[in-house]
Amino acid sequence: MSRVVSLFRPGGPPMSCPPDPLLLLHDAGELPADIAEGWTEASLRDHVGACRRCRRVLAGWQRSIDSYRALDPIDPGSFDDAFFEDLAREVDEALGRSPAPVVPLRRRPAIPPMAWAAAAVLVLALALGRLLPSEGVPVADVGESPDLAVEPVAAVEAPPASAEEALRIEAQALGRSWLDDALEEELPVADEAQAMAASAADVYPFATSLYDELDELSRDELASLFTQL
Amino acid sequence: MGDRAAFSALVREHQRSVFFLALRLSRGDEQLARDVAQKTFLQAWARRASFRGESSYKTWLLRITSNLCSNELRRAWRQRELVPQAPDGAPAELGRTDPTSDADLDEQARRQALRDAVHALPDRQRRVAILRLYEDLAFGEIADVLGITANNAKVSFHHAVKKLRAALEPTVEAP
Repeated sequence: MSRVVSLFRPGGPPMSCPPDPLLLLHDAGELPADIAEGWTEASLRDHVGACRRCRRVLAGWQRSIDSYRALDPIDPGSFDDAFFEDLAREVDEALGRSPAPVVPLRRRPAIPPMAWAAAAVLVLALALGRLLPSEGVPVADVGESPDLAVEPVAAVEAPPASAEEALRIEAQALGRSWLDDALEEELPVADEAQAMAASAADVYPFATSLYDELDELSRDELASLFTQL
Repeated sequence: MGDRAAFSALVREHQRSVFFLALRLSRGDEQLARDVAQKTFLQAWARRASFRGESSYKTWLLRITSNLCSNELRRAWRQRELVPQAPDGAPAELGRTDPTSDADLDEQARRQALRDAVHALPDRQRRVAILRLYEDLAFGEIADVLGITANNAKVSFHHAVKKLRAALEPTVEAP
């Protein structure tokens, strides 16, 4: 009888009626055994058959559900067969494309091999620029025999020291910015498809800007640097 | 290719359910629903080896759809790409013609009220209500789609309808 006591509340169902949630769940199909409070499908069915109040509750519940179904916010009829044929074709085409490689969700952008080669040439040029004499230097100064009388060798079209320093600073800054672009940027990508698209979109401008910058420098400033190679 | 042909047949069989679920969960964002539908099938194809037949293909696909919708809506929310709004602030109507009579206006108002009430529900109750009311899934199937127990689905549905009745009376409720 504890079941009957637990069901009683002011304004609620009479003591002999099942609680409304139980009634409604029974009407929806299966009665969850763990919350049935002693009621069974058969006892509920018998009770509803005999109780006008419970039938009224169930009818109101069903009326609500029917009205919600009738007021479906989507009008399926407005999406015709052609719409779905189109959708199926899109899926078929996407499946037909060659499988794209799996891209890690957060990754550093791939750098084209040619970009590495160009950067390596630049770094080598900078290193040699530091090691090679930039102005005419007597051979004696580099440890040759004092018996040989050698005239100082004039540097061929060497740029002034201040211009060379400015060029080196500029080249270093450029190299830093390339490496920053290439190595420090991480894209906030959330899925594989987005990552692949982002990768393609990201690498292309990087490579383009690299070659653009190299072209820019090779015309004027880098000309003198490369002559020292 | 035999696999592909069978899968294409699967797409054609279930694409309506997948698309309409995405459309309902996204509150009528047709482009998002279309994207989600396509991604659902691509993901299903990529993961076809993991399908063990413990649920039906339909509930498996709807589960992918439901999860993808959650991701897309979260992303859209982060990017503030909200659902297209009609000038009065109501979500754009979904393929319906302009109302031409008082009865149409009344029906649209009630439809709008229901849509608002459904989307005001807590997330799980909203999903259960949509799957039960409009996809006509059994509670066991809803449980498979949402990864919950069947009892949980039943209780959620009960709470959902109770809240809808409280919110919509007397706007939508029939006399």
